[in-house]
Amino acid sequence: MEQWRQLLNASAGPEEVSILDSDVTGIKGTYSAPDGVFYSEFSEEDAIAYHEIFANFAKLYELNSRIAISGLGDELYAQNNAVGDRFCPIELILFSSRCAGQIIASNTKVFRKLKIIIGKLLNDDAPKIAQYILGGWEWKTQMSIFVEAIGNAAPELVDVAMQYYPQAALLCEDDDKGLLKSYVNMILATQDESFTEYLSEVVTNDVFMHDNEAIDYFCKAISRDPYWKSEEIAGPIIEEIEGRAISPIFRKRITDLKRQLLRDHTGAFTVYGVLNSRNFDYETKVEWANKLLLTGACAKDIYEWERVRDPEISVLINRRAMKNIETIVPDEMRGRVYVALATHAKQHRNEVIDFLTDQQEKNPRFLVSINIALYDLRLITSEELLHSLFHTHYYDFTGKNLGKYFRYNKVAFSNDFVAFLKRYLKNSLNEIELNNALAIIYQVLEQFNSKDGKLSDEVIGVADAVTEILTTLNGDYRYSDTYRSFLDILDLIAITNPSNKRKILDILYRFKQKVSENGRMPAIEFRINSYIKKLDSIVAPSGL
Amino acid sequence: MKMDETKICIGIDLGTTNTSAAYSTLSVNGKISVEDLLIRQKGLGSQRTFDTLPSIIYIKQNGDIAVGREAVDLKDNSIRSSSEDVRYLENVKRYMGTQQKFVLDGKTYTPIDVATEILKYVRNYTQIKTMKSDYYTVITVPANFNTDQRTDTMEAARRAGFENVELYDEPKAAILSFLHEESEKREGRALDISTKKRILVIDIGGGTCDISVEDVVERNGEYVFTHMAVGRENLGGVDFDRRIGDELARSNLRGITLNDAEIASLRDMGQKIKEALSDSIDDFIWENYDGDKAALYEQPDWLDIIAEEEFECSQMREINHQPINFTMNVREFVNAITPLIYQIEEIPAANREQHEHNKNMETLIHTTLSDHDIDVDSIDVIFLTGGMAKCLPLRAALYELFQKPIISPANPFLAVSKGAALVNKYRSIEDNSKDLMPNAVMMEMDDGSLKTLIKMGEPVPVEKTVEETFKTVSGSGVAIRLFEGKNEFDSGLRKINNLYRITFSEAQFPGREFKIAYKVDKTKRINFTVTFPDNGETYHIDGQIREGK
Repeated sequence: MEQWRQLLNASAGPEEVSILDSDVTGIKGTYSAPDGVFYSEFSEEDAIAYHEIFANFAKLYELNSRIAISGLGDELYAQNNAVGDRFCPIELILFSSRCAGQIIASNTKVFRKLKIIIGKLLNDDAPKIAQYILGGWEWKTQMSIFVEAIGNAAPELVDVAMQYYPQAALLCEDDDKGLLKSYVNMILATQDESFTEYLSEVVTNDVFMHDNEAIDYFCKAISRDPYWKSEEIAGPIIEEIEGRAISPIFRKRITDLKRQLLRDHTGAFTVYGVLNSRNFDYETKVEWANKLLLTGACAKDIYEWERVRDPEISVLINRRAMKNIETIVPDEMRGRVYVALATHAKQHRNEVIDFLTDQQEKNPRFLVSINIALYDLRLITSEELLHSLFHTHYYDFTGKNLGKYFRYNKVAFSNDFVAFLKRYLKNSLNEIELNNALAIIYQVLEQFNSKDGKLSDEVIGVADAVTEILTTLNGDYRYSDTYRSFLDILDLIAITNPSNKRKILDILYRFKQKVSENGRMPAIEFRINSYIKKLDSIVAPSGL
Repeated sequence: MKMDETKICIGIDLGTTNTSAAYSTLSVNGKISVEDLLIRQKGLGSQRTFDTLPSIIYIKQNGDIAVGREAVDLKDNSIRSSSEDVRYLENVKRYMGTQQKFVLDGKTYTPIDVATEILKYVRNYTQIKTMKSDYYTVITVPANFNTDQRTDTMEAARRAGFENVELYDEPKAAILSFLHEESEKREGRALDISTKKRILVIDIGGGTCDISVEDVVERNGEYVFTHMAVGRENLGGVDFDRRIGDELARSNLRGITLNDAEIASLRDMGQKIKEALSDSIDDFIWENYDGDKAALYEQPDWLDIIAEEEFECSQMREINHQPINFTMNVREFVNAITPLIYQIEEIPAANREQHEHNKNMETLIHTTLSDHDIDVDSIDVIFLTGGMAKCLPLRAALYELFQKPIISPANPFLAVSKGAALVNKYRSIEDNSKDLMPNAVMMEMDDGSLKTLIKMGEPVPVEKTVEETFKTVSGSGVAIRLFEGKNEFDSGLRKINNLYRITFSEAQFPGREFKIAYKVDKTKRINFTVTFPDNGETYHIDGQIREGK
């Protein structure tokens, strides 16, 4: 037999015809999903090694997430080196990562790190591996990592990934749309306009376009991406989408997006862009600063002002704002001006403090907003601020002012606000006070969520913190408004951080029990039930 | 189900390339008889009976389906006419248990549909049609068939109208048939099982190569089987055909692109050459060694001996609109099939494609033995069965590799169906024997871990309650997602397609505790009983076939 072996090992000539890969069934099969979890073949030892990396990571993460995250990359690179070219470890890494699935789903840093590692491993086997992962797996977080890695590191595989998009959409039908958003991210990351048609295919899929949050995500992603938002690129995308049969809500959002992009395209410079730039002289900056009217309904101007970093120009604008304070409408804007004054007060602190103190007496309606400013200037404590917040009658805008402030001062949010809230809500509040508090929480949270768009770690942290706070409540209330407020907040949290779903469901089930015991709030019960139904798909069990 | 030995039992070997059937009866004096069921088929214009039915269907232009020899003729006609309209489905058993689909003229055919057509044909064109329905049907499956494959086979049997269906492992059926043959011999038995014998069963049929190790002993006139190991590869006659066709292409065709019909034609030629050369070698053995194959292959220069005879086979085919005469001699034939027998590549495959290219019997046998800690030296005899058992070079290679005596049933094509028909007549075998789970079955937990419910090699049938208490994570129900493989670190891990799930009629609070009990029956299919102690609710869950998306 030895001679045969030698004969067979002799290499085949380039022009030889082979039928070894041919189908043996006659009519060709149409189903491309593989029969097996992995394309790569590896040893048990390899699998255990990767599994241990993630198991240890999950343990360490509980103790020190920063060290755990930085160590994860090193461990994986070392193990990948040990594997060498014996096989492609992409599937094994992603499969093993399931034992740290919750962490990966909720921590963008870990997600990003894995995305980069996977991107570096995409090789000749990748199209086949894509077939196994995207065509056969149902682990959506891992699929998302793979899809986004393609966008970052191997745009040539976008065609392959897109073959499995309809399947991904079906997988997300009753659940969060994270995987579908990853498809959006994949295409955006390529910065390749030839994928415009794919992008519209992704977003006009029924499952995607009937999810308001997903639509929102797409519109924000486009409007924020310097490459895709440009007129030449965004124009054809919008045209392509508008040409398809899309839902009325989506059509409206697309129209809004078009309007927004048009506005962005016409204003080549933003005021704050000029004011913060080193390329303009002082006179030009003063000229531009004067464009900020700060009178009447001046939301856009306040937005620009909040972003100004030039200290001298800040003084100029502050003075104009103080002078015009009585003319600024609506109340929410005026509240924002008080806070902005404090955050820009470095050069003339005493002048601003005098002004704010004076306003405190003259305008109790704006007490909370003024207190936020004074808190920022370290003149009152967080206790004083938050006490005033929860005892004000002007909830409609104070929560929003506070939320805006927290967006720029995350430390104040996580150190002071969350701690205060936990204490405050635990104390025996009456239901009216609780309702007020909920209204404020909702407004604060909305500021993090609504216009900020992309889910940063901080935003996820806010959702986590508020979820934590809500889990301390027992859910036994007399007024349907209280439940309604709770549900509104839960709704926002679920959108902000889908990985909190389980905790939210726990709260919902607790409410459901209380409401059904109470028996007098069918509308609330119905809302809770439909919410549970929406969030709670049938999943695998857990051990005790 | 306890089988009544007095009833007729029909055995069906639903093979990858050929299907055969037999039935057994028990006479009043206790004599067991087993007969092949001849299958009436339309072949080359006339209708005759054959002992095997080619496992192929041909979908005619009007949508009618031809099965067996008629389908083969229609396929041959289309190959001869170089038609590019491929309308046949064969070797589909390889896709049982998967969600593969085949589409022709806008109609979709699944592997279950094809198996159903074949079984229906067997039912309608044999003596079965005239039998009273009070009989057992035993359908054989490869020992290593997974849960999905077994479920699909049962479903096909049900759709074909069979009742009282049991599944039985092919290697065991082949041995049973062999032992029955032996028991009828007064003298000259090939295997003495008065003391325990360890048999390496190699069942290589049209599409699969099943390896199993059975310890067999006869005690007080009853056979006792101890199942020791199983292994399987999608490696069978069809791969040999493809290798031979590939060799013909490599040596005769250069720089051309073949269409699907031409590829099918080359594979078909491979099959015809394999059969013709095997027949020539067989004739030579009858003439020179009185049919004693061992007398030839135990000689180190067996290949030179037959090569000297200068057997060769020619086939004329039209490729790229040119008639080409393809010829192959015995040495070329052996060279072409060697990679399927011997391990040529030393480096382990990095992926499935390489694995598919490198698959061979030597690796399969050694892996199966080492996975189950069985020493090659402990093997007493090799039992070679299945359609490919006829292939002398294969037999010679197995002898060279293991240096063990090789035995085979008188007719390897029909041994499995006969053995299946005998299952209810040798009930003691089932009573005294335990099968082994070919793979571990694992349940996915909500944290992503896989909890092993049954280990690979665990004896079945079995009924167990998992000690651990579980809790629901969702309020809507519980999804039991199953995986199978050697263990959770196996690169051959696969998701079981069958769905096992409980849907609560209304949302329940998550975190409900529940216990899981499972039962693996003789056919190695699993079902669950889930009990919620809080209100005593109990759910019995059988796997539901998941329709492909």
